[in-house]
Amino acid sequence: MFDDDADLQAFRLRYREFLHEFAPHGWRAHATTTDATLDIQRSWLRTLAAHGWAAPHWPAEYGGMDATLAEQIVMQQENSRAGAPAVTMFGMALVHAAATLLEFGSEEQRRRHLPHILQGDEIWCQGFSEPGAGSDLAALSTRAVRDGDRYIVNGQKIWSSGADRADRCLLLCRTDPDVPKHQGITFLLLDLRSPGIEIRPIVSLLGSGEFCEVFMTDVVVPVTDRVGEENEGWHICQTTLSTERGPYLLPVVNKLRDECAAMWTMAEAIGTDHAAQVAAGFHAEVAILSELIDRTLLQAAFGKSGNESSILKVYYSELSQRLTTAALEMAGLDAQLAWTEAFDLNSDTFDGSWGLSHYWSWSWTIAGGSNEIQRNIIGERVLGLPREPRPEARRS
Amino acid sequence: MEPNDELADELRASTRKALDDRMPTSVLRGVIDTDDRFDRGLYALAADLGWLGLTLPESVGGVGGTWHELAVVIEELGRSMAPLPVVSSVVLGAGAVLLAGDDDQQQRLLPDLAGGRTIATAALTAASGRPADGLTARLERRDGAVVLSGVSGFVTDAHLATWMVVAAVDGADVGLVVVDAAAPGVRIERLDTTDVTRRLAHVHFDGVVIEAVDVLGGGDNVEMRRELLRRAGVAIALDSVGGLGRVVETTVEYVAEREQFGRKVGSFQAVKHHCANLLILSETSRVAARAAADGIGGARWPEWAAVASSYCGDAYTEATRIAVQCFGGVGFTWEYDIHFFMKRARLSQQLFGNPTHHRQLLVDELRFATPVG
Amino acid sequence: MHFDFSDDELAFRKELKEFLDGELPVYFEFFDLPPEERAERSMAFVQLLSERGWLTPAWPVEYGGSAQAPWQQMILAEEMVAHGEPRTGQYMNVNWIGPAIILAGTPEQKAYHLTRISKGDVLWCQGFSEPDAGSDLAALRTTAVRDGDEYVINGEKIWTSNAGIAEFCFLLARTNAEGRKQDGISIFLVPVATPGIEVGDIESVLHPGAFHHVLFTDVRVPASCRLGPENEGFSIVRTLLANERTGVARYHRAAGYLDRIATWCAERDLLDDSAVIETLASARAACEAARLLVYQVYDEKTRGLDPDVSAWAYRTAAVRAERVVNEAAFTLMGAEGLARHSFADSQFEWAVTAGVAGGSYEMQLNSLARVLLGSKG
Ligand SMILES: Cc1cc2nc3c(=O)[nH]c(=O)nc-3n(C[C@H](O)[C@H](O)[C@H](O)COP(=O)(O)OP(=O)(O)OC[C@H]3O[C@@H](n4cnc5c(N)ncnc54)[C@H](O)[C@@H]3O)c2cc1C
Ligand SMILES: Cc1cc2nc3c(=O)[nH]c(=O)nc-3n(C[C@H](O)[C@H](O)[C@H](O)COP(=O)(O)OP(=O)(O)OC[C@H]3O[C@@H](n4cnc5c(N)ncnc54)[C@H](O)[C@@H]3O)c2cc1C
Repeated sequence: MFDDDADLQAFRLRYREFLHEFAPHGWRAHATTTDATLDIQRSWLRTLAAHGWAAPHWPAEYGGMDATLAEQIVMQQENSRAGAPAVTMFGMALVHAAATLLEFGSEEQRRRHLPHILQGDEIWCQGFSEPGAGSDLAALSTRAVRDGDRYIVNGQKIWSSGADRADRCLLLCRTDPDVPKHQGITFLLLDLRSPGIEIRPIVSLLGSGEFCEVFMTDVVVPVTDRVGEENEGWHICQTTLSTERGPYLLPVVNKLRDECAAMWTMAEAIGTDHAAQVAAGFHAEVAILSELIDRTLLQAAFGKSGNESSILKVYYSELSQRLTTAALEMAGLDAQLAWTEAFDLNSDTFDGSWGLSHYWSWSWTIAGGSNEIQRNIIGERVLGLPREPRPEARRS
Repeated sequence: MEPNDELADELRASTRKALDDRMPTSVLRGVIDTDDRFDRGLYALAADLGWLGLTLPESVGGVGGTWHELAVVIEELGRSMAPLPVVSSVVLGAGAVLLAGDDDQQQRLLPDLAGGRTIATAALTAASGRPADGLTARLERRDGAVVLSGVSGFVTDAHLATWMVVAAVDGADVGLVVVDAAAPGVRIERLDTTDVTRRLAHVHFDGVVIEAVDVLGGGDNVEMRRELLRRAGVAIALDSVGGLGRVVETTVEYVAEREQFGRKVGSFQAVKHHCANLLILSETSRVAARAAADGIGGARWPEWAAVASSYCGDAYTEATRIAVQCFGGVGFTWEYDIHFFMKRARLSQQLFGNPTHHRQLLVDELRFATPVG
Repeated sequence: MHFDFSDDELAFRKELKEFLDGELPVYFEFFDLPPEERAERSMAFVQLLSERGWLTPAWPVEYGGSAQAPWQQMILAEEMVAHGEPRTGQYMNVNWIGPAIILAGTPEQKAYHLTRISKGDVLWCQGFSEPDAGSDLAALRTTAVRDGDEYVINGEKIWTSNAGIAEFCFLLARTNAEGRKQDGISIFLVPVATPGIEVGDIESVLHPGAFHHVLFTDVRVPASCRLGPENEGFSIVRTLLANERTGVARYHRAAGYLDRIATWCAERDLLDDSAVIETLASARAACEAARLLVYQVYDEKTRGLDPDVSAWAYRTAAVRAERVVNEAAFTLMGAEGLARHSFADSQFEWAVTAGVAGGSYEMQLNSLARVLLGSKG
């Protein structure tokens, strides 16, 4: 809903011109495997980087643009207008890893990784969750034991998205088992080519290898790959996680908008008032979501927000679920036909399969802190309601 | 980009303070027991504080502000549920005359309205109150005079109005006329609604003679009526946003105090999640209504008006349902305030078109504007 | 499972309906009457039911029943509530107060109370909730202290429906302050006219006389008023309230109500609108889902199975049905549904109270979860 001022308009035109000249055409026809998709994204990322557009949200000194949120929104709008590929497979690197390094990494770590990330030479994944530590992430038990200037890591991570193609991993480990669980966690940068690492893809409900198990046996990580101080990992990982509720959401809203348009077409084909009204209702909600994101992120930029972003996540993810549920109903049996394999689940466009969109929508109500956890956060940290009594207390 | 909100923040603070001082629910309870449900003194204060002239041009005694500021006042009125005919006078009455009246008509009617000396409203719907139903008031020419007959349904604040703008069937067109509420042939039938914080009426017209100077419009009257209904819908959405904010606060306050099973009930996850849902409903409604208000007259205004009206109507009723549930038994007592919001939400959901109607309007916009996205 | 009614049952329903249609105005809501008139008309009406053996048909013959299968009770419950519940508060007598006395009463208590209940000449109220004991009922603090062959009762009850017109109160009071709070509660069958009992109105947003508070100040009742052993009241009530859970056929009333909305829509030529049909149909589906669940409960009961899961599931489904029908009413009727005492208004009352009265929706879900998860929960 923002009207561009003159500067923003100039920015928009500049980027539009760049896209006009450089954005690839017809790439979708070639994106027929995960690896092919990855190649397309990588080459596009390099083109973006060559012209300075790859990481608008980064500081200029690391190759970014110090772009305002409004500029990022404009870029997203122009991307979808031009049908440019989204660089989602590099998202964990460009967003999660970068945000963590920029806030907590050493200068040496930033200089070591950020240029590679910008060039699409490093794919990152996130090794937080474990079989015994999901919602209760702080219960993680992967051990890192200090041995001179290195850590020896043993343990298992799970649900690590894209680990099978990743070069590096944002890793949370326990370094002190004798203190309260939040205080004994350390944040490491793991080179996935290190000896002692085994990565096993898990077949997801979509039939594709979205996430992996990562087994670590006596893996050596140099102390120079530690982010922040020892035992301060909990605080640091909050930054990593909160990026998922930031500008990261702009492309996914784009996808919702796309889905809305597709639903509208179906509704018109069905031809009843009711179908059209249902589609219009979702159109309204997507417009509201988009506005909510813009306004929340704007506030965040001014340092006012934080836990409020949980509202975004819950609203977005459940809207996506409701929308695709209604769409499946409208689409009838056609949408029940098995879809071709999904290569880019986080794409910013709707690829025509309601089944994929629908089943994938659960990733958003579960991953990155489930909606139940988000509602706890909203209740306790935003509204100030009392916490649940601890289970320990109940037993005694 | 984002309008400078310092002014709006100041206006919000002063409006809230005035309403907290003058219309806490303890006072409101007295006012709604009277037949008029009106506080004349507070209305005079509203004029003094400039709420009535906020969006009127300086030429008729207003301050030439925008809906960005008016939105603040309407939200605060919704928050306090103050029974003041601000939306009726400013958005409907004055809005109609600004939209469809000529200079003379504006000069004649609006300065007194801005000064709080007169109150106005608009009667825009059929007896059923549904905007989509054919109008049940009609204009006829008799011996060269224009005569108004029939009925307009669910008119807000008609019982207080000095004059009202009436939309009536006029041959194949819609006519918009100014009617003096005290004119012979006008009968105001007060309605007993479940929402006791407002007063609505059916207005009956029995051969009311309309002077030529009181005929408005002449352009696309159908579109003007539609535009007034749109604004009315957004005003209701803003009112709902104010109410939602208060519903969240009072509910959270209650469940953070009330104990059962040796715990604050707000510590039970079922209740906590209810509260989180309340906040989500409130925040999403807020951005919808404000985006609409800020976009008035812009390219996407009709679309956003429909978005806000359809969404906020549902969100407010759903939120009050959840809130009463969180209160348990006391939620049903007259003593607690929460039921006032519940019933106000219900009426708001239906006034000037229900959510289904607004979604249909959105359908019309989308069809017109395809492709979407 | 077969949910076809037998010929006898169908004949019974037909006879009952004809009788009710003949006796009562169409769309009559007893709860809309002022309390005294409601009590008077209801008492008169219940006499008629009793004369026909339609008040307590499922009770054993010795207590004034005719030992009919529970299905008949089911049909009764549906038709009564669809006709504005002419038994008013007496539905409680039939559904669980009588059965509680059958279960735990002394011969004298049975002889006195069951006879009167089955004759339909007594109104009861339920004195459970207190200001600080709502969902947490076992936290109640009203005390009953033994003094010779009497108890002395002190405390405050709240939300007590019908207390202003009832003759007896089915009262829960604390007889032991030690130990687990559930284990110190006893039941008393107390005449409301006993000195020291003061009934006050609570101004509510519901029908007239919906709520009361009841103050007990040194109220002396003979020990023979106690129902069941001392300190075992809570478990008796818990067993009996299982009946209360399925006793009110809310879905049937809501479905009938939906028929009225459909008629209203038909009169306005709205039935060819796809959105209207969707709304009506999905609301009806919610009612029928609740109906099938309660039939399952009765089926399980008749076959000696444990209906715990379906009974709790039914309770939540019934609340949902009320809510969905309420939304449908407002959506379809628009502003006309907002006039006070319009039929949308009366559905509103049923729908909002459904999730609170007699145990909140959240507590119902807790109970259902507990049954499903057992000690794992
Ligand atoms: C598609 C996808 C991609 C993912 N990618 C990654 C990744 O790249 N890296 C990574 O580290 N992890 C990843 N995850 C893991 C994700 O972060 C966890 O799944 C998530 O934190 C939930 O943990 P869990 O699966 O163990 O569920 P559990 O914690 O076992 O939760 C099970 C259920 O219990 C509920 N629950 C748990 N605790 C509470 C509570 N206190 N109150 C109320 N309800 C509660 C949950 O909401 C959930 O409904 C991914 C997950 C998915 C689905
Ligand atoms: C119309 C009506 C008629 C009534 N008639 C009678 C009557 O005749 N006799 C009588 O004794 N009582 C009667 N009641 C009282 C009724 O039983 C109580 O209102 C009900 O048990 C809830 O208690 P409360 O009002 O104290 O709410 P609270 O217990 O204070 O509950 C407040 C909120 O907290 C939630 N909550 C509380 N504990 C938990 C938990 N552990 N987990 C999750 N959520 C929780 C509740 O669901 C509710 O949303 C009546 C109530 C109504 C509305």
